[in-house]
Amino acid sequence: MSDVERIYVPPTRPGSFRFRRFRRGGFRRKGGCFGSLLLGTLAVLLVWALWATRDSYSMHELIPDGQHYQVFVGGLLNKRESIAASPAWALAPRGSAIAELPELLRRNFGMPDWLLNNLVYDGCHVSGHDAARFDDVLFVTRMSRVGCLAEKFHRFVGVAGDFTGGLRLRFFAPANLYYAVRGRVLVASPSRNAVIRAVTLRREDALPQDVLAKGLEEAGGADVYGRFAFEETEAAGEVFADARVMLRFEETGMSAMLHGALRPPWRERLAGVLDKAEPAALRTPLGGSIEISGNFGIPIGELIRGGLRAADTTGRAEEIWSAWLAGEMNEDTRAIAQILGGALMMTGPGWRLSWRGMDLNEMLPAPELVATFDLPPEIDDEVLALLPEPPPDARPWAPYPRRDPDRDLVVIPLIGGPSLTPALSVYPGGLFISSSRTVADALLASGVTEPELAERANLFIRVRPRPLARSIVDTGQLLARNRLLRDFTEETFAEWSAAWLDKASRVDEAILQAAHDDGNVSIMVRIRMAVSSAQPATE
Amino acid sequence: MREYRQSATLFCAAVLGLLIAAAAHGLEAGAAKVDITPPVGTPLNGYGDRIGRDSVGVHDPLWARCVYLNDGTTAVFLVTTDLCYIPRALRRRVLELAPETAPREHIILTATHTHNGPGAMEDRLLYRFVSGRYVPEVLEATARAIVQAMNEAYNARRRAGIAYGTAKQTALSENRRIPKGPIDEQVGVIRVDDSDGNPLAIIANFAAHPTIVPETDHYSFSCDYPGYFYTELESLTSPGCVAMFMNGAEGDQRPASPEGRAGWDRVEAVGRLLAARVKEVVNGLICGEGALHVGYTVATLPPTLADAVQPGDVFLQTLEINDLLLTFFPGEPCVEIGLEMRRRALARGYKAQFTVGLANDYVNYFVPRKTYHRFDYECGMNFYGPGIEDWFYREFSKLMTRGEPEPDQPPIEAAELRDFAGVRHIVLEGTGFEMGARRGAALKASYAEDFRRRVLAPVASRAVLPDTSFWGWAPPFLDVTPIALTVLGVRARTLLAGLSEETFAEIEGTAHGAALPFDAVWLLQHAHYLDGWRKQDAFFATPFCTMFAATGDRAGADDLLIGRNLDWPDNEPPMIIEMQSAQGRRFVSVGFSWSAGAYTGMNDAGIVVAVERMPLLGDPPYEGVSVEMLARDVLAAATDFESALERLRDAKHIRGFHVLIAGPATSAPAAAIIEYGSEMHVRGPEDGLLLGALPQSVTLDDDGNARYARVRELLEAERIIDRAEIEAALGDAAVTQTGRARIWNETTRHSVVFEPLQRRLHVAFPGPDGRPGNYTTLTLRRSEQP
Repeated sequence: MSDVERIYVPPTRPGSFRFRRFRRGGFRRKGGCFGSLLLGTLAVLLVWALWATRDSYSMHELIPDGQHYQVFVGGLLNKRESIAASPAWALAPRGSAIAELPELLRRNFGMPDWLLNNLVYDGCHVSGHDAARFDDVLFVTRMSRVGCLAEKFHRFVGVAGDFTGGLRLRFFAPANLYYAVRGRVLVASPSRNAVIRAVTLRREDALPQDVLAKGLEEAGGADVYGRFAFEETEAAGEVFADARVMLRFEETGMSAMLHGALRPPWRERLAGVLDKAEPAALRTPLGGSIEISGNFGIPIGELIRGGLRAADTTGRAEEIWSAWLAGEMNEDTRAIAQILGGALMMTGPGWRLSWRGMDLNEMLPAPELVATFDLPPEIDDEVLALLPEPPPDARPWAPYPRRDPDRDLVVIPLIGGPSLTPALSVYPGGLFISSSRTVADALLASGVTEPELAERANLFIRVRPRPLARSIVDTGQLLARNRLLRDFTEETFAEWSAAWLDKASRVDEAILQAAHDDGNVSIMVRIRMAVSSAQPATE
Repeated sequence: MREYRQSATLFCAAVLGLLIAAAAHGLEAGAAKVDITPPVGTPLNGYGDRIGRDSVGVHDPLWARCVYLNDGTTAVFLVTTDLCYIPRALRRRVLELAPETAPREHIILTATHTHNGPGAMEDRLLYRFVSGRYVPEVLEATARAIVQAMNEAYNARRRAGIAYGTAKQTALSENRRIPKGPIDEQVGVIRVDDSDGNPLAIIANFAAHPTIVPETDHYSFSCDYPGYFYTELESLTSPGCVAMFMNGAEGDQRPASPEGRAGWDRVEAVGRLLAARVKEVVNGLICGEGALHVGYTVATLPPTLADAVQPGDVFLQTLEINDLLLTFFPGEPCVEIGLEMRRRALARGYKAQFTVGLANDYVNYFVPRKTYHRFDYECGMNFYGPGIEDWFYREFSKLMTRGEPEPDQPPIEAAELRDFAGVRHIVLEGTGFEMGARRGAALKASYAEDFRRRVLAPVASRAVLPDTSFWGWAPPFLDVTPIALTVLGVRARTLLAGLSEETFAEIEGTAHGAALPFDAVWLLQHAHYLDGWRKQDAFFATPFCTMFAATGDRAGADDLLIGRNLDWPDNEPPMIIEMQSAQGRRFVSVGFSWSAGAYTGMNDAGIVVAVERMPLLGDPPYEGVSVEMLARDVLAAATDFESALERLRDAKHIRGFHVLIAGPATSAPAAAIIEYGSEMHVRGPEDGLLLGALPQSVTLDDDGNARYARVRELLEAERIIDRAEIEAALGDAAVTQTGRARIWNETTRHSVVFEPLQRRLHVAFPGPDGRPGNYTTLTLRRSEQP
């Protein structure tokens, strides 16, 4: 042993404050030891944290392939407030599961926002088999490292462990959810079996990575994007093999887009309607509470025939229609049937319908309907020429078409007054028909204008619920006042209809636009809320 | 000089006083007419076959014609209009706009009933099928034109005199329902002159439908024959005279075809000849002072099944001009009512009476009781029961200043409900109406509930409505009950044909006591036919009873014994009804609280009647008295077997029933089954036994065959049959059989053994275990002979 004092000068590290502080404090040996311990611990913790939150699983590995429905939601937590605030939820039936969704979206289950944001950090994927009850819905999302780390302390927030033969599931009672964490992927479901199945998936049973990636990419512009694969035994599956749905919630309403591929039996069944249908330029119907514009690329007569064939596969309906047009059903209506048959084959392919309201002062409550049909200009005169002249001895009130040369209008007295008297006229490019002579007079006087709609489609439907509901309620009140409305008196109907009217008045308009292209159907639905109703909903 | 001045002053004062007195008590009158023709295109009123289409032209203008009368104490506006009737909304609006120069209750609005007048004034949906769409502007314009006529008449008022008279006609009108039937031959005339003797107004009252505008002008406005009447009469009188026309009791009256005319010539001829007849009367009239009196009331109408479309009260008016009485009906009374009204008015001291129809309101037709059973237009549009004529006589009598008003219905004392063997037992005496009223009052709640359950509920659910035509395509949200009940009520009236007056009165009394419409009570009696109305004969698909008789030696010392089980689909509380009929007989009927007919009964002459449905013999009748009502009338009147049998034989319209009739006959007690099929057969006992139906006969289905085979087996086992053996047979529920093949089955509601010669019956009802309870004896007290 040597007693020679040794002086050891460690190499200095310029700017190392910590080193200098220890030296000045005189704790060189002790302090170095504690610091090293702390550093070591932190390092270990860091390593553990990094290890524990390593991204060892991909989301797609935990999503079973072949789920009947799949919904992709990008940035759910960022959007949830705006989604929940959409006034469109007000339309959901009171007490229904859908009506509870906004509240569910706003719930934090006792967690602070930062934690939730880290738990549901990236895109979400929702899938399942049972689209009716959603009791096997599987929710898969990627957590941030922070979220993943925070989850490790699940026992402090009342999450119960569920060992499950080493699968280490957890149960979060406030949300009635089972979940498991694999890597930074969180798998949750109200169904314990669904979680177990997800975490024990074989690679070949999992959703292909590119499918997930594509779904998340397609969901980019939407708040919710869903894909559905239907069994043929399901109601929707009879018609569509699969479908893709996009939902977007806005401050003034919501929109939805559906794309679906028709199954071959339905393509065949709808062949009479859709065979020649491809997105076409539609014209705006004349205004009304309900407006419909259609163009399926075929004359109206063929469209009706195809529709009847689709509605009744036995062919009976089509047979009856043909027989009626041929005048075989009723001798009295033979002439009018033949005229109608001829006119229907001349008109189209574009057509528009509007329901403008009700005339409650008529002999019967009379709906006011207007229809216009495309008509090749060269046969304008031929359509009206189909109408027979009244016999010379016909009384003025007999039900023959009556021409008003001054207004180029033909009216057909049937029953009741003007609102039950059909009227027709030819205008540039089309044939105009109304169930009401009064409406025809008013519209034709102001000129028929039908500008093209912005988007190409085969069918356009616009509903304005407020005037529509008002008409229906007024009709109901008239029937109730006359004691002809089942189960209602005038008073009870007024009470019942008030709530209904209120709900209808929240929607300014709802639009459905559908297009067909080679067996694929696209449907767009847009709901725009009334200004006055949009505001309270954001409270 | 001073004396002279005083005298002059006194003289002037006296003259002035006389002038004031004259002015205060002299009659003032004014008349005016205003065109009320609406724009062409307005729908017309009067015919459903126009199906609400618009009018296409004007043949002749329509008018509101008004005379203002004021005798110094009473001011009256009498307005006639060329309308089909006065819609309630129109009267309301006229009263709102009318001048204050007469009390609102003294404004009399009448319509000529032209079927070529404007519609468009009905907000009520069902009325629009005849009057077309509702155009509020037409109502407003018509009301304003009427008020204009009133104002002009008032402004034209001057000293006047008045007179009235009548003429007779037989060639201008005829009964449209009964060939050579009754008509109102009277043409009433009122003449109003100014102080110079110039006619201001001439008012005619004549009863006939203005429905003779030719088909060529079906959609044109026209006054019909009153238009020609106006023109002709005004041409015959001095300028400025306003001719007015008030229709009478025209419910079943139409114009004749005088001079063999047709088309517009006929219309012209009726108007012209009527004017000529009126002018003859006018020429003989000398006008003088007139004392006026207006009687009015808002009267509560009798209850109606059509309460969804008909009001519950109505405004009634009378106008007295000296000795003349005018009664204003708010609708269309048939001529019989008008004539009876006149008879009663004349009996009360009036010198003349005019019935004016279509006044102030419109509650459709009023037919006399004796025609209530008919299935024709007038009866079908009579919604307030068969007693409506009495209601009018009574209500108008209260408005007359002469004679005593007819009393209201006396207060009803509810019949006592007794207990008999655990079921309700009611004893009724008095006239048919009184018995019914006492029963109705005693069972008021029960009737309301039975009507709700047996009629209203199946109608409301459409279970008994046809699934074709309107009933089939009416959407589910539409409540067709008010229409269906009205139609059913009208249709069921055909079952009144042949009903005895006493039973008819009893039904009326029951309705009165139970505060229900007559049609409701009558429909309740036949609710079990509703299924048949829809051609769904579920209820009638099986026989519903068992009945048999043992006669002669077979019945041993009793001579005649009858056993009877009533099967009934609904488990309704049974009831025993004992009645003293004014037709002479006291009788007892075992049935249900709502039933006025007899399914099982015996009278104090020992006549027993039991009814059994035999569906294979045909549908029950839907016209003519029903079998159970016939059975009730037999019990009320029959004194012996032969007379009862004869009454039953006369009912040749009945189908689908067997009726057992038994009782003392001239020689010996007798029993028979009347089989009502396509032909009627009467079958007597064989070897002392008479079965309701013969096993293996074509009238029985399998269950019926099995049941009657069992009855025969049980009865033939004994040579002498006594009451105990009949009770045993009626209670038999052979284990080898099931359901309705058993004599006593789950639908059996009562079991009765009759001992006619002792006037005794033994009645049992199902016990808690479903088996027959104990038989309890009821002895029928003999009635005092009428």
